[in-house]
Order: sequence, then C-alpha cells, then structure tokens
Amino acid sequence: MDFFDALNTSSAALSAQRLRMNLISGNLANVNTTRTSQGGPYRRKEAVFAALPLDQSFKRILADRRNNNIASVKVARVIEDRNPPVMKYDPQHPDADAKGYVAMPNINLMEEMVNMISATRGYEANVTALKAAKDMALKALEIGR
Amino acid sequence: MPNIKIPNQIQPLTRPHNSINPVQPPPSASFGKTLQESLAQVNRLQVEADAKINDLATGRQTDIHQTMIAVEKASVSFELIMQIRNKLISAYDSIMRTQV
Repeated sequence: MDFFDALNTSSAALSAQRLRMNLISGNLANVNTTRTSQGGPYRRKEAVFAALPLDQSFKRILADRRNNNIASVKVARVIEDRNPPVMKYDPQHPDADAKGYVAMPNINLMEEMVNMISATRGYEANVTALKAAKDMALKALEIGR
Repeated sequence: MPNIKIPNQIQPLTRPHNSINPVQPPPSASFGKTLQESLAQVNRLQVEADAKINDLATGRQTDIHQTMIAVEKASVSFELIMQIRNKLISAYDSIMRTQV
C-alpha cells in the first residue's frame, strides 16, 4: 500500500527530530558541566541527518536509480562540537587549572534555544504532513459515499 | 459440394486462433481471495497497532508517534475495508430488489 509511504517517511522524520530534541536538552542540561567520563568539560552534541530510501527492496532501489523515489531520513551520526572550551577565571572551582581558569562547555544558550525552536517546528511540520496524508486517504474513501 | 469446400478453406485461417489456449484467469486473482488477503492485511495492522500500544504502556517503546501512526494506519485501513463492505452490501441489496 503506497499510501503508507508518506506515513512511514513522516514517522522517520519525527524520530529524527525527537532525537535532535533529546540532544538539545542534553546540551542545555550540561551547560555548566566540567567533568565527563572522557575527562574535560562537556562537549556540545549535534545530530547529522542523512537521506535514505524508504526500504532496500529491489523495486525501491530501481525507483531510486530513476530518481523518483521518496527519501526518508535518519540520524546518520551524532557529532561532538570540536570548538575549544570556554576558559572562565574561577580559582575557587575544584576543576580550575594552575592559573585559576576553568574549562567550561562551549555551549551557547541562545543557539541551543534557536535549535530547539527549529526542532519543535520541524516536528510540528512533520505531524502536519502526516495528518494531511491521512486526511487525503480518508477523503479518497469518501468518494464512494 | 460448395458447402463442404468453404469450411475447408476457412479452417487454415482459424487454426492459429484455435491453437491459442483460451484465456483463463489465474486462480489467485479471484475476488474472494483478494478480499480475504486484504482482510488479513487489515487484521495484521490492527494486531500491530495493538502490540505497539502494549509496548508503549509497558515502557518497552518510548516513541509515542510510532504508536499513534500504527493506530492511524490500522484505522484508515479499517475504514477502507468498511467502505468495501458497504459497497458489497449495497450491491447485494440492489440484486435483492430486482423485480421478478
């Protein structure tokens, strides 16, 4: 049933946006974290999205080659921000170095808020697409009435 | 004599036609079987949605939207099968109203 393709694509997009939202809440929660299991301050995490065909059947791959396949989305990997940590002067801090500087996470609160809005709106957009696809199917069923 | 001759001349023309097997519908294409298959698929979606609800309630799955989408899939396909049923029943009614 091809109608379900739209639902499956939206479902994958919702999962991807949800994972992105989880990463953002993790970033916001660790805005002051100076200790991690890898050592050093917390590093900001970000999701990398990748397009992929909906499934790997022969028909799908053929459609993909002919460039008329719908692409689903998935989180390819989670990357860590490689920017250097922010050095903050706080000699009282237990993690301060010899000069009294503490390495704080390189998280910009405003940037995270903007990303959060983007993730929320992306989620909403996909829910709307899903609803529209469902409404189309139900409208088609009304033809017979 | 002419009556016998004419069929003899016609026969070569009709032979290729006779050699082709009469087209028979493949046994799997019967309406009842198709209906049964789609019913089974609708049932499978219902069972799937049920399992997803169970998973969400027991905490095995944490994606709310996947459960909701499974329920929606089941609901839309059920709606489709109901429409087919309505059509079938209205066809039956039409036949039963036939004047004899």
